[in-house]
Amino acid sequence: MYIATLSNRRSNSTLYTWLNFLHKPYFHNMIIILIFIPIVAIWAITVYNGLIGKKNNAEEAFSGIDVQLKKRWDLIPNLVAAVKEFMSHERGILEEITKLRGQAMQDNIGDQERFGLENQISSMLGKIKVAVEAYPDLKANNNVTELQHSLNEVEAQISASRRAYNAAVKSLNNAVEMFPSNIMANIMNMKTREFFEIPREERESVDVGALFDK
Amino acid sequence: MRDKDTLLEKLRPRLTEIETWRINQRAKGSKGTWIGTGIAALGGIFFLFFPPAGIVILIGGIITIIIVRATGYSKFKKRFKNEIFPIVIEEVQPGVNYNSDSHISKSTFHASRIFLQDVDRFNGEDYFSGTVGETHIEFSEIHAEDKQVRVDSKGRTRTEYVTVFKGLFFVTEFHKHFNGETYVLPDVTESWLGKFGRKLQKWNWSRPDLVELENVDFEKLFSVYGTDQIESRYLLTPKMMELIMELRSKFGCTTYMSFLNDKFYIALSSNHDFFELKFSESLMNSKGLERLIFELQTCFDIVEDLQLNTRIWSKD
Repeated sequence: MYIATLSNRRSNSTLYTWLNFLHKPYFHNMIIILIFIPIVAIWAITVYNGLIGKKNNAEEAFSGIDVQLKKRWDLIPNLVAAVKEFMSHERGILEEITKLRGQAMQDNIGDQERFGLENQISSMLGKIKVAVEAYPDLKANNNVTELQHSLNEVEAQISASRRAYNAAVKSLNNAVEMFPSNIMANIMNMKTREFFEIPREERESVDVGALFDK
Repeated sequence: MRDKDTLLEKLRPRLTEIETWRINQRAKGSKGTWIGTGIAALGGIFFLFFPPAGIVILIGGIITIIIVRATGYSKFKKRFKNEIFPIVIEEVQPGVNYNSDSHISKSTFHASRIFLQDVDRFNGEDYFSGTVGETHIEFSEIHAEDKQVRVDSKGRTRTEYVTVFKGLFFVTEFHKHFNGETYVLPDVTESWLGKFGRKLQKWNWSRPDLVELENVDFEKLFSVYGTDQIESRYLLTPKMMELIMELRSKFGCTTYMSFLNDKFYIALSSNHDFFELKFSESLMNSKGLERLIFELQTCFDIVEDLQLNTRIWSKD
């Protein structure tokens, strides 16, 4: 109505041209595009950065596990050296753990295989801890106690790193699989990651202190 | 602690003496209350004939009652805290220092970074400090308040003090080394808003990053923030999360914790006045003392409850 009145009165005016332009279909499309593109762009940037952040968190947590496992490698020879004179019956365990450590340290080994070996090392260390209890001389040995404390420390750090890694992987996997972030994840060719299997004995939150109180 | 009956037996001579004194004080208090009531009643009668004088006398009567009662209680509290409480403490936790008038300092309270609000009025009492096993612990009652000045629609200003924290505040050592900061705070958003609440927790800019832990029950009760995701999990092991939940239900208080600068801070929010005996209650009735011993024991048990004496990691 307003436009019609205007067109009658001032058909050649700039205002009319402008208002007429507003009614063209391509202008509507343009408006939609102008609003839609920034929204999509902001969403894409946010999701992209979020996914990259989550991937980096998972990688950082993974390297956290690696650092602690390497610290444990350094402690194992010292522990073996400290206890082997006393532990004549457990020579098999000591030899086995030394062998497993050597295998895990090889450069050409895959992650999955390596972590399998690390889990076996954890289990062997548990056996050594229990065995130490049978030797009063070893229990009273300051060097062994100190080494055990350092190992407990590293084990606690490994456990924390694994839990941090699994939390980071859960967050990443949710983003990769859930709508709408999965669209961006597909474009980025991002894949879900495997959770770190936590050995049963760690999940049961063993009271390690009890071993020393015996 | 030795047998409770032995302790009560040991305290009996002192208790009998203070009990006689308490009864006298109560009698004096009753006399003072009657006098105050009489004055107030007189004020009431005066009010009928000469209102201004009546009000003054009435207020005078009420003030007399308040002063008489408060003085009696304060004298009783002083005697009890100086003469009986130290003996109880020595039995419950030998070697612990106690100061009834002291409290955890304001700087320590702020250092915990549990409460980030301004604190303009800071009071407290019943300060304990000592070593349980291998762990040093100190705690006291604290009341921290923030002064808020409000202007109403008519332009009048009104000052009021809003409680930031009231309850028991503990500072202790943690049995593991740490470098970063970890906060365990009550979860308000998740318990109200569920998963959406968890998303909101991520936007708490006054805290470090949210640490999402795997214990669902723990997550419902607490929000954890930490500067290092691994370190926070190193401190909050699955076992530790269970122990914290047990501690929370044992005290039945809203629980706050922080780990920073090699210290472990615990704040238990409560309106209950801890470590007190009722002026109206007989000292020969052991219920009050038993409650006191229980409160004291429960506080020192925090070290064992959270297994802080376990020294199997690299920290001595």
